[in-house]
Amino acid sequence: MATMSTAFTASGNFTLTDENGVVVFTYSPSFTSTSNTTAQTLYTGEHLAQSGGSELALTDVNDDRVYVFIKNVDTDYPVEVEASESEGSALEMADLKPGECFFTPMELNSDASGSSIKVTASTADQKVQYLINDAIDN
Amino acid sequence: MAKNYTFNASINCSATSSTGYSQSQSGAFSLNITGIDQVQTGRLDIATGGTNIMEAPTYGKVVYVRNLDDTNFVTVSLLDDADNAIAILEPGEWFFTILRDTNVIDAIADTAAVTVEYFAVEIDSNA
Repeated sequence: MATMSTAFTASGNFTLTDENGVVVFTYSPSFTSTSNTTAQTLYTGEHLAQSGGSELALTDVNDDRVYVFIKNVDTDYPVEVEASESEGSALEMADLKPGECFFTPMELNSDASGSSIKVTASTADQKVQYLINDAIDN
Repeated sequence: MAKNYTFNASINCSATSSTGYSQSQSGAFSLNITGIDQVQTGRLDIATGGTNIMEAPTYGKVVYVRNLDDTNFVTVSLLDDADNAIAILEPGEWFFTILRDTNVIDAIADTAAVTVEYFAVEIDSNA
């Protein structure tokens, strides 16, 4: 039986500067996961988030924790990201205006009712780019 | 007190398979934030019973949390309820998101209290 082993690295830089030019904070976090020998997915691509909502293709995801990076690469409208069906009402993870991105190690199946990510564009369809990788379960 | 800010963010992510296959994505953006009251940052102990990170903002927020613990994971949620998790952070892991809603941000430690590094900054409707 073949197995899939993946490792994930995330780094960021975040700075808040006030109107007087004073740097309020700067954070530069980074981590690299240990090798996940039970990974089932390493997805990346571009997806047209529809105004009525559409789901990223996650049918083979390991049904638990995943590393998710999503960026709104369109120019007109925001895109809402939800862990589809993780609750009775979809749980919102991010609201991304054009050019914005987010990253989170998230659980898609907290109550065993669903395992996908739903992206919904406001007003008209919008393009998003994504990178999704199975994470070691907590 | 200053009420107007500039927020800059950049994120780089990469995933690599043992076969040598690798993919990466990155992004960077800036927000001009005006007329806000809530700017919170620092380190915070998160209890197993839950600890509030940010009170309900007027319009929305940018949030970053990093788990500084060596052993236990921490759950970050929109409500005082682990089922509403938006991040589950193993030791050393972090997350960042933008939410344009009025929900609070809470965190719940698993097994024992953990320390997190964080910022939670209110954003206005034009940001």
